[in-house]
Amino acid sequence: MDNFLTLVGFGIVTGGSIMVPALGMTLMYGSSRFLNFAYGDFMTLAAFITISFASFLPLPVAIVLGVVALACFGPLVQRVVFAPLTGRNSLVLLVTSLGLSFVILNCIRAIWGTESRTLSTPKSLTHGMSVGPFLVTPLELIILVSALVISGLVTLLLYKTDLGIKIRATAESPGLAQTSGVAVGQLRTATWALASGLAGLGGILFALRVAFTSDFGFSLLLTVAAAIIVGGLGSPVGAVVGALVIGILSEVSTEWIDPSLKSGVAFVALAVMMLVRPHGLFGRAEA
Amino acid sequence: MIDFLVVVVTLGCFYALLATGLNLQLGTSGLANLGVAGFFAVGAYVTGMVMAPRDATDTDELLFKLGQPWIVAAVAAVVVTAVVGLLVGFVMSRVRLAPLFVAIITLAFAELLLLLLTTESSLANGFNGVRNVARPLSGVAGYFDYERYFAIVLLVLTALVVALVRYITHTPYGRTLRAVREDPELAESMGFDVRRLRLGVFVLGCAIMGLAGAFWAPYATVVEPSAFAIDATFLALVVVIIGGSGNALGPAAGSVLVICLIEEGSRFLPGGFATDVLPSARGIVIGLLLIVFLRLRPDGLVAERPQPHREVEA
Repeated sequence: MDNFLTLVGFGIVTGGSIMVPALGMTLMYGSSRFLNFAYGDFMTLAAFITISFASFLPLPVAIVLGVVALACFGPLVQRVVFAPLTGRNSLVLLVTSLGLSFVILNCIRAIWGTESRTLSTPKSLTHGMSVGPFLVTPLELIILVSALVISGLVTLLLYKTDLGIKIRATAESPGLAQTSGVAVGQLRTATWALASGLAGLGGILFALRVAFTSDFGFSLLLTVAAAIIVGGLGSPVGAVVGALVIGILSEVSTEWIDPSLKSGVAFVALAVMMLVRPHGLFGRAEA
Repeated sequence: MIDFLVVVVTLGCFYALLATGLNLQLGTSGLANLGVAGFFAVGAYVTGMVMAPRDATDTDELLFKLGQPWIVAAVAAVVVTAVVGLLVGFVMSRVRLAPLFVAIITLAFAELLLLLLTTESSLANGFNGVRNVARPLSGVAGYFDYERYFAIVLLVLTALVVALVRYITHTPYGRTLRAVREDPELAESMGFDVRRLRLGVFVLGCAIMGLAGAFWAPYATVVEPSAFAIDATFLALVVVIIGGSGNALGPAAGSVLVICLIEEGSRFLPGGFATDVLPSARGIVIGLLLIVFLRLRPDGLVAERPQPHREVEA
């Protein structure tokens, strides 16, 4: 039983690190109505930018710079690559984002190489300690708390502020939002900035825990996508809950299956969700 | 030079086959299958395992070893891949085969398969894969000539498959598919079972990918997971988009361009060219080509021709 709770603890930590990018992805989906397959590479890009800054700046500063860089990069990409495709079918956007993913991935490889990298964190943060039945490192605790805080703030922003309400209105019905006087174009840029910043932060939080290579973001893409689809596409609350569900399921599954298979649990959960409740936990059934 | 040509033709044919399968799914029905590598893998693995001698005592851990001739293995590969395609398609049809879910589920399928193949070594020998796959008729031609004959056979096969797909898209069935792609609601209201039609196309496309796998196993003689990474899917997708989706000849044109010029042609670059950056540069070019083609020339090199029948004005 204790072992089980320990696994749940790991699951919450894992879920926490999926939560931040999941929120960003669901926002981006809501804003542009397509799933950006380059999203994972946004995460990778932030991790590598942070590594470069961290070589001559303190780590927290480097992290902030990494997030800011992505918050600028995202809207730029939206304007240059995706905005001209407005009105084309979702398939074109989807495949274009795959192309973009390939471009970013290979740019990262060309600049930073393909070998495995780590963000050096203070040793004192990586010693395991027990919190009740859970076993965590201070670093994981920091990551989890910051993920929860950020997710809470973003949710508050979306539901309680004027900007957030406009963002959700635009996602819901761009035409109606426009007629109600919302500057849809500007808002889309703002959403992309926020979502890309969250992608960046998610990537960095992930990179703080483990060694990573140039393709870690792409391989996380499906896990993050599984989280938001299980939670319900476009729903911020769904993204948070979905991330926790996927995190806990994949860690707890190691009780029965080979730990190296745990990343596959997300895919199975995704398939099961489609069969049982295609619109996800918090999504609304469409027609 | 001739050896280079043989390699280009062979690889080009493999990609043309994969792209033809994908083109059928994407071009005629808008199904963005991102699990091409996975279905290709199913075909290749089934072929390898059906052909594996029963008495192979070396470390090979395979789910089954049937020791059958290639032709039996090839039929099994096509059938199994089609069935797997049907299962994947069934999950997708729950969400009305919406493009986003098709992409995600097929990608998840391929990743899950790759994960299982690499970590569950009792399934198909893990990273080592199926080794020493026999080459059919290898007694007839020597080792070096074999590759040349193989290229010719594969070229003929590819031509046949392309012709078949071309034929299919010109039959009433093909026209129905096109109608479904252009306006699913209208087609549905006219009494067509849109979901079933699309599912059929998906399965047929997967079967073609399985066929490609059936030829890959004896060609490579080794079926290992590394050959079925996402890159294979991506290249097939690029071939379809650049060649022109919805046109049976498109994939052929696309694969010639992509494989010859980009994948294999870069070996003709002058020496001293930074070789460590080369794969990345190639990737960047391929990705950019995809983005640019979709923006400026969405019909690809070979556009879909308007059908030779009376247009009905709306």
